[in-house]
Amino acid sequence: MTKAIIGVLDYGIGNTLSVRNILSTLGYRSRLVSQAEQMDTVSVLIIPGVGAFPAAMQQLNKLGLVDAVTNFARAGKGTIGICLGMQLLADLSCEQGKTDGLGLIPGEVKPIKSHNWHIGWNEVNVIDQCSSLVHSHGRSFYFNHSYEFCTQANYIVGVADIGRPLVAVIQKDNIIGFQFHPEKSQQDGLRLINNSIRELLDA
Amino acid sequence: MLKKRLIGVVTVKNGWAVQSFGYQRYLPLGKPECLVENLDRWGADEILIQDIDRSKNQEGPNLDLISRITARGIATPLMYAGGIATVADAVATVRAGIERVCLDSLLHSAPDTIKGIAHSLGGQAVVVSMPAIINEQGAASWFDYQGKQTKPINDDLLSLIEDDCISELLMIDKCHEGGTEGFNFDLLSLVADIGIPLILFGGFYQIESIARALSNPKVTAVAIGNYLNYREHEIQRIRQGLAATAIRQPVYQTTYLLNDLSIKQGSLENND
Repeated sequence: MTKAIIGVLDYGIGNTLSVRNILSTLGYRSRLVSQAEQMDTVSVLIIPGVGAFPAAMQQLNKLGLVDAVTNFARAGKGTIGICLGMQLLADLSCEQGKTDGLGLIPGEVKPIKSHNWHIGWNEVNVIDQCSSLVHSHGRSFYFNHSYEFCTQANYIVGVADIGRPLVAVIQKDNIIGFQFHPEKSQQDGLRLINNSIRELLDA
Repeated sequence: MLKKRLIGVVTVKNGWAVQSFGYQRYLPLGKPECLVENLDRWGADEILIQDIDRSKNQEGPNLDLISRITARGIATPLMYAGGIATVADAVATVRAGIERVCLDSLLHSAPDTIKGIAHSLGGQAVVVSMPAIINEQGAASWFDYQGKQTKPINDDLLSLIEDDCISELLMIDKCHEGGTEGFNFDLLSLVADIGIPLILFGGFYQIESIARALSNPKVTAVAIGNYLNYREHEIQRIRQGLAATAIRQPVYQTTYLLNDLSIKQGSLENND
């Protein structure tokens, strides 16, 4: 039996340990990916993130990982972005000036209007009833961000309520983004990330 | 809507978790990683590890301790305070498995470094700590541990807030921390004119007091230390007592069993 290996992108500022620990809890084998040639060794790539968008893109460029990640995702391999990792999937961010993103899911990252911060636990309403994430409908997850992913409705899978819908989960085929931290959302987060990986591996 | 939070606090001194009484006296509690694991299992919304020796001894953040904690597969957001003196310290702390850093000394000695940390990690990952006391004139004032004196709110702090370098301010009732007299709400006058979300810490153990704090629109979280370490599932009991507050409701295993049933049925119903 060949076991899948989940890659965790290590670009110098992300919180890779928490993600790997949770993958271990869920019974997955994982590997840090910090070089382009390591992409071939993993079945699904997770892009974690705690940090600022420009610093993250600067690191990805410096390590020569931009083309490697986009080629991996565009080849149809499962790719999951978490928090900043989700925002990096966008075309562009306005954080600390304009910075190009990975361009994997059309959209722009902008400051959350009328809210400086969205920090804490909020319920996620899954609006795409065909998504495997439908089991997480109404559950609370941990958010920690001040910028939001603005994209077309057809890519939005789940939203959180901040007095208006805030994009919480996006998906374009084999590419999924979570604005919250499933790896830090206790049992509900573990279930969500497990369901997502299983969906991507089964695709 | 966004829920208000209950933050469990683990105070660490010389590598051991301790019960603190106003940061003056301490009783040993055991290994910090065991206490953090308990709070994770009991469903704290966030866990603050405050390593109180590190700045004074200029030892930097305790990355070994953080690694031991995160190696236990903690699935609760972690905040760390202690010894962070540079941008590199803060980045290393996050890489070791921490979501947010809590800063105190830097606010007095090198506020520009806090800007650098926010530039690298984003302001959402930066919290500053403000120990507060009622001074001899009866006014709420900010206590500087390094200078052993009180000081007014200064332009450095206001600038950091204005520039979104700080996402929340942890206000500590220094005199009532670890005590049973409860948090002194008069301290809030110190930050009445500052527009930043507040985490309150120090003396919280009564439901009424916690509810009063969380009813304040500026207060996003209450942090609780000693009280959570002596009774199993105390967080869940507090949650039940705060049922009317916008807070995550108690999470029990049965909730998941019910939800699993709904998965089998393909239901979208929320079984909370």
